[in-house]
Order: sequence, then C-alpha cells, then structure tokens
Amino acid sequence: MSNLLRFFRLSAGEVLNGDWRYYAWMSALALITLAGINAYCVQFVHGLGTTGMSDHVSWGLYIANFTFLVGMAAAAVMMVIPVYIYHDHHMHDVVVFGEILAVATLIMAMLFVTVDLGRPERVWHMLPPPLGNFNWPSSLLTWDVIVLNGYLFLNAYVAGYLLYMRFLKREPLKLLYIPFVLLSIVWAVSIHTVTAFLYQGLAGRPFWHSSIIAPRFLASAFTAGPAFLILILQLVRRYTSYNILDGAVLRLRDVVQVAMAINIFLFLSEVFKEFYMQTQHVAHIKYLLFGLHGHSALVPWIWTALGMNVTAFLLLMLPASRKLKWLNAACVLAIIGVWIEKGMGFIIPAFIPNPLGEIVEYLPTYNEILICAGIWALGFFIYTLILKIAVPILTGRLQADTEPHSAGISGDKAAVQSGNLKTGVSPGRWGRDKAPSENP
Amino acid sequence: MSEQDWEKTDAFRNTEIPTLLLIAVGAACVAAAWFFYTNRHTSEQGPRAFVMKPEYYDISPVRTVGKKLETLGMACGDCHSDPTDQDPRTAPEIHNKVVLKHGSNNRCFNCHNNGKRDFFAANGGGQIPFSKVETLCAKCHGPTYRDWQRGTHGRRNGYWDKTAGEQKNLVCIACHDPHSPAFKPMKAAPAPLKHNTPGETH
Amino acid sequence: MAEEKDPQGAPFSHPKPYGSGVTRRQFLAVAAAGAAAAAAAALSPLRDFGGFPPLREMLQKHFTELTPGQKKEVLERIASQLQEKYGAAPQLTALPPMDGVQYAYALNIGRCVGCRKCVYACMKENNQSRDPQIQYISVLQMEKGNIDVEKSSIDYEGQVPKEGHYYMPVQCHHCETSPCTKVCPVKATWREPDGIVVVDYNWCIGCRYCEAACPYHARRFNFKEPYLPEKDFNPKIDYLSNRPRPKGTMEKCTFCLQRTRAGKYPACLEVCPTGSRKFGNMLDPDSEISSIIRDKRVYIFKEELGTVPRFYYYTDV
Repeated sequence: MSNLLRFFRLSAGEVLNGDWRYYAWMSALALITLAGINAYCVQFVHGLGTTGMSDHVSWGLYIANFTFLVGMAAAAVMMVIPVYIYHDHHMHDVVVFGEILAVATLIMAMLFVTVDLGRPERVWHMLPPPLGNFNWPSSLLTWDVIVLNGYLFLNAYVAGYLLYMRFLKREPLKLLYIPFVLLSIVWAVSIHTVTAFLYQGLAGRPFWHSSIIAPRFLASAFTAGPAFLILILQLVRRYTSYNILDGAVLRLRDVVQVAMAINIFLFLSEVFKEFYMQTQHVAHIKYLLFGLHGHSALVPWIWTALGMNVTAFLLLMLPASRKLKWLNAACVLAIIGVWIEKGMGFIIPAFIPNPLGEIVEYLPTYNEILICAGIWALGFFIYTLILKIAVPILTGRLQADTEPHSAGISGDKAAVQSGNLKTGVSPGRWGRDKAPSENP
Repeated sequence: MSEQDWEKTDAFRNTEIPTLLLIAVGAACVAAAWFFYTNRHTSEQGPRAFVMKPEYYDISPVRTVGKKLETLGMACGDCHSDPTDQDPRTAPEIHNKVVLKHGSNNRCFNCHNNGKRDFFAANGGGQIPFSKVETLCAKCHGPTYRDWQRGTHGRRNGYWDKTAGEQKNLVCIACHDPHSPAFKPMKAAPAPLKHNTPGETH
Repeated sequence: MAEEKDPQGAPFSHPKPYGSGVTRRQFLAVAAAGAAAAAAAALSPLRDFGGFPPLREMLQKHFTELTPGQKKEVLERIASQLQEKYGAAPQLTALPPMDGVQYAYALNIGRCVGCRKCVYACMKENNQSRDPQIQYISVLQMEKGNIDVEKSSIDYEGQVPKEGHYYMPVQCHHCETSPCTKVCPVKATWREPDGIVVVDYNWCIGCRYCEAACPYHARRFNFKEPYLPEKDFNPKIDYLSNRPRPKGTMEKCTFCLQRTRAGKYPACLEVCPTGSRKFGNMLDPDSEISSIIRDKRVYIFKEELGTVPRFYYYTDV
C-alpha cells in the first residue's frame, strides 16, 4: 500500500515538472478543453439545437469522431499481436504506448457519445435491471457499451500492471497479464466490429446496410491507429531519453501499408457495387462523391480524403517511406484521410437523402466544433499525462526506490548502475561518474 | 535534441518563469472574458415565426349540406307541382345556372323526381327523400355505395369502436357537388418550415 | 558552494528561486488559480440552466415497471407541472391497451389530395412544438408513374392536387418488427400489446439511434425546449402519447392513443376532407380496416425491409 501511495506521489511530482514546452503544451490543451466545456455547458442548457443536427441528419460530428476514435483504440492490438503472438522483440518495449493510446482514445470516444445524448443525466438507464433497462442483446449500442468499457479496463489494467511492476522493479506474473493480453487481441477486433454493426444492421439506411462496413472499419482502424503510433513513438524518442528502435517504427509501417491497401480496395469494391447497376440506393454515394440535385457539401472533403489515402498508400509502397520524413508525411495523410472518410464521409451520406427522399444537408455549428476540439484536447492531455509517468518508469528513472527530483542526475545514474535501462539508452549528458552535489 | 529529457530543469532560464506566468494568467483572463462574451445572448429568445391558423385543421367538410332540397330558401314543391317535358336548363332563371358535369349524365330527371320535385327519382319512378340522398347515388354508383356503407369510402367520424360510441359517415353530398361531383382543388396548408434547426440549411 | 559544472561545461541546476523570486511552485500555483478562474467562467452558461427535474422524476423507473401507486403519483406530478406551465387543468390518463384489439391504419392513396389538414390536426391534438416546428406526418407529393420518393417533394404549396402528381402521407407505421424498438439501448420505446409503438418520454436518453433506424422518417427529436403557446394546449392527454414532451427526448405518431384507446378515431382521420384515412381493429371482421385489407389493393411502403408495418396504402378497386 505504501508503494502505491509512493507511486501516486512520485507520479504527481513527475506530472507537475517539465520543461517549458511541456507546460506550454499542457496549458494550451487545458485552455482548449475549457473552451469545449464552455460550449458543452451551452449545449446542456439549450439542448442539441445548438448543433447543426436535425431530424434529417440526426447524427453528425460527434458520432463521426466517436467512430474514428473507436478505430484508433482498436489499433493497439496491432502492436500486441507481433509481441505476444510472434514474439517480435522490436515492438516489445513500445506495446505499452499502444495500450495507453487505447485508454485515452476510449475515454474520448465515450465522451463523444455522452455529449451526443439528449438527456445525459439519464445515462444510468443503461444499467442492467433492476436499476435500468439495458436492452441487451437486442440493441447494438448496449453491446458497444459492454465492449468499450471492457476494452478500456483490459488496456488500463495490463498497462497499469506492467508499469507498476516495472516501477517496483518486480517481475510481473505471467498469469496476471498474459491471459488479459490475449483476450485484448480478440476484444480489439470486437470493439470495432460491434461499432460497425451499429450501422451495418440498419436496413432503413441503405448506405450502411452493407456487409463490407465491418471489414472497412477494421482496415481503416489499422491504418490510422498504427500511423498515429508511428508519429507518437518518434515524439517520445525525440523528447525523452527512451530509445525506441527503428525496427518498431518500421514494423508499424508494414501494418499501415497493408491496412491502407485493404482499405482502398474495400472502398473501390463498394464503389463498384453501387455504380455498376445503379439502384435507387446509389443516391447516397452519389451525394458523397458527386453531389445530388445541386447539393454537394461533402464532395470536396471526400475527394481530399481519397487523394490523401491514395497518396499515403503510394508513399508507403515506395521504399522512400523507409525514411522517416516520407513515412511521417504518409502517416499524417493517412490519419487525416481516414478521419474524413470514416467520420463525416461515412456518417453523413447515410442520412442524405433522408428515407423520404428529401435532401437536408448538415454543417456542424461553431459550438459543436468547439466541443469536439475540447474532447480531442482532453484526450491529448490525458495521453500526455499518462506518458509523462510511463516513460520515466520505462527508462528506469522513476522507480519505487529512487527520488527523482533531488536531481534527474542520480536517478539516471542509479538506473544505469542497476542495469534498469535495458533498452540501452545512452546516458546522455548526465549519467557520468561525478556525483551530484547536495542542494545548497 | 535527442539528449534532452522532459525532466530537465535547466531549460528554465531566468526570464522564463515570469514570462510563462504572465502568458498563463493572460490566457486565462482572455479565455474567461471570451466565455462570458460568447454567452451573453444565451437567454434571449428569437421571434416565433410560425402561427397555427384554424383553417389549417378545420374539420368541416368541403360542402355544407342543407336540411332539405331547396334553393334560395324555397322548396322546389313551392313552385312546381306538375311534371314537365321541358329541359329545366332552358328555364329563364335558377335552373339555367346549373352546370352539369356529372359524367355521361345529361338529363336532370335521371336524379330529380319530375312528378314530386321535393324528392329524388328512384328506379321505377319511386321517391327518394332528401334525407336518404345516398340511395340516389347508389342507383349508379353501387360499389362506391357498398364501400361507403362499410366505411371505406368517404369520411367516417366518431368512434371506431361501435360499443364506445357512434360512427357517422359523411353523406355523399358533403364532399361531392351532385351536379359536378369531381372533388374541387383546395388550398394546401403550409409546407413544413425550413431552417427549423441550425442544421436545416436548405 | 562552488558552481557545479558537468563535463560539457553547462551548469548543473537545481530548483531554486531565480533572480526574479518566482519559483516553479509559485508559478504553478498562480497558473492553477488562473485556470480555476477560467474554468469557473467556462461553466458560466449554466447560469441559464432551468434546473434538473425533481429528484423523484429523475429516479423514476421505466413506465412498464411502475406499480399502480407509483403510476398514480407520476401522473399527479406531471399533471400539476403542466397545470403550472399552461394554466389549464390537464386530464392526464394512462389508458391501457384494450383486449382483443390490434390497430391498423389504411390510407387511400387514390383519394388523398395533399391538403395537409392531417398534419396540422395532428399538431393541434398532440401538443406538438410550434418552434422548432415538429410534425409527425410528412405528405409527399409524388410523380405519377412511379413510387420513387427521391423524385417526391415535401414543400409544395398552393392549390392541390396538382396535375401529374399524387400524394402520399407518411407517419409512424407502428411496425410489427419495428427497427426502432429493436435498437433502443434502454427500451424507452416498445410495442404495446395492441400494436402501438410508444415512447416513455421520461426514460428516453436521447441517443437518436431509433431515428437512425427508422426507414420511414417517422421519429422526431426535441433538439430544443419545445414551444407550445398556452392557448394551443390540448389538456386531454395521455402519459404515453400527447402530453407535452421534454427537451432531449424522442416523439412520434402514437395513433392518437389518448383517443383510440377510448374508442375514437385519430385526429388525422377525423379532419381528412376526402375520407382517405381509415383506422380500426384488424381483429374485427366488420371494421372498415378489415374490409380494406381483405378486399382492396393494399400496398406496403418499403415492404422489402421486413418491417411489417400496420400502415397500408390502398386504392379503391
């Protein structure tokens, strides 16, 4: 217990100390989060009429972001599989970044659903009887609640357990984490499949009522998530002493490569099916790609997204993307492209035209965008916060038996001496023989 | 750059903390002011554009039905007693204003009773009273009359559950002008409002 | 103490007050205070919040789980709230379904002229919000020669019927295998034994999954607090149908169950000037609805979706 308290105390110290870039980053995120909270207060008081949604397009930017983020959370599995199934040593030290990403993105996804509710104070109605009236197994939303919370718990537990054991310099018990890790592999696929089934099952929305939705979701998730992790790993490498080997990044590149190829293929398959023999249902994808009866709000977006996806794919196919500069460009393009294509490009066309043939377009309002920005900022804030604790644990500087801030010096030095820095980080400017002086 | 750690404390120079403090507090003040500014209108109500007019949901049938067969306040029998072999539409007044557009019906006495002008003509020369005018229509429009009796043609008001109350079929001439029975065009009540919510941008 | 230098010659530093006298701790404290002030300002829109409903209402259980005593209490509470708001004493009922009754609706698509009186009679009867305007019935002006709703128009005006067009009103079909009741995560909408699909407005969480699932664009969401002028309030209301609804919940046509469960015709049917609307008990062979289903040419809108609606379009032959 005292170890746990020590852990919290030292983590708190870790989180409150950083250089000016850290403070600036976190302050900016905090301000954006506050702006989002402010916008949500307006929405809470006045209702969802402050958004751009209507009875015709009744799901919008919130659900679009929710869909995208569930995919990102599922991507953690793309690091877990190589490490735990194939025993890939490159990825072993970076799996935890994927698991922490899953925690942050799941919190964001659940926040997006919550801000989309008309009566959020009634969310307890989803509890099982006798408290609530949980409509399981009929409603896919109930399945989503179960799998998302379960996955959040799985990842938080596994990452937390492994980091805590590292903090205590104890060997983690295989029985206490390997089964959960293996479960999380299956579970990751399930969270995004269930989210896909949410849409896929609705016969009244022909744009969604297609068996290809679940595979498309998985393919785009495994494109955007690992791409994001590629960028994160490089940031960690740049700003901390945690050395991440290129092999981890390149293994993730392989995943993004294949996933993006499948993503594009599945999209083309959908396009063929719609346009070869055009039924009345082609109206939705026509609206998305070409506009319908003079309405074309989404057309520039989707073509930008498709262009980004194809460009990213081509870049990834070329050996040039083994160089980080091109790889990073491809990743940024892939993330934004998937966000558009799977967010607004997926949710909105199902509602246009509406089931009675009417076209009412959707444009998010300023308030809505602020709430989205606030949740994204909060997600980044949480992710940064957890990494601020996790990275020092991984480098060995934050341990149960060290005081990290009498000097960063002795921490590193002790770490080097005790051999905790398994990843072979170069000691940097500090871990020299000279003993630190006492505080004056 | 790769040698710098997050926990480095010497990145703070002499001027950085106060500068950061100024920036942080300044940003907080700007944020607070902006929050108050953007919410200054939230209690205001915009004008209420839509008004429900009673004519939109007026339940009265399209025609008013009198109590008896009359015109200009006079019953037909007040003036007429004997049969005629003239076409009433050649008369100098009242009857010449009737526009007969009732399918292939071109003879007034197909429906009107030549001998007893206060009644209608049943098949075989008998009399149909005004109160049973539907049986007049039924002479030719058998299937429609059957449907009317069943309630599937024409408006039926009241109770679907006969044990709870009465059902009342609207009589034929409450909707159909007998001389020109085709349903007249009417003015539609207003279309649904656009710009109901910010999202309805069309 | 002598100034320490590391091998590269840069000074070791320790957290200590700088020349300006501001430490990291002091900075953090002031910054936190500033952030707290900004946070309080961020929450300022909540000043306008009208307040949560009473605790009893917030903890109210699902309508089907209320005991008769609890139901009575709920009805009394709602009635007194409405009396206060609209100034008229409401007659709030919670009519049970009748035995041996399965409701169905038929619409004579050959006779409808598109006058929209049904739309407004429904608004009047069911206390629908005037602003934002909520209408349960959508009347589509269709092109003769097809049933393609994409070619239809909902905002026609002027004299009806128009040359070359026919009219098809659409409202909740009260489907037997309704997609909306299947997807509701909290069972706030369900199918009653007499066939009517209802919503418990005090249980709905406003996720709008049912609205996404409905193939007939039948469901409406209260994006804002509904506005109903006092003089337009219809006090003859039922818990599951036409009582004024709260913000953030779903609503839709309820076959006027406040009328139909008392044996009357729905408001839309009563006002229709051409008599195109028919309603009744399918199980009664003498009812007009049974006669229509038995003898007329009956069609179902989007039949291929397998919703099995209780709403039939028919023509006179």
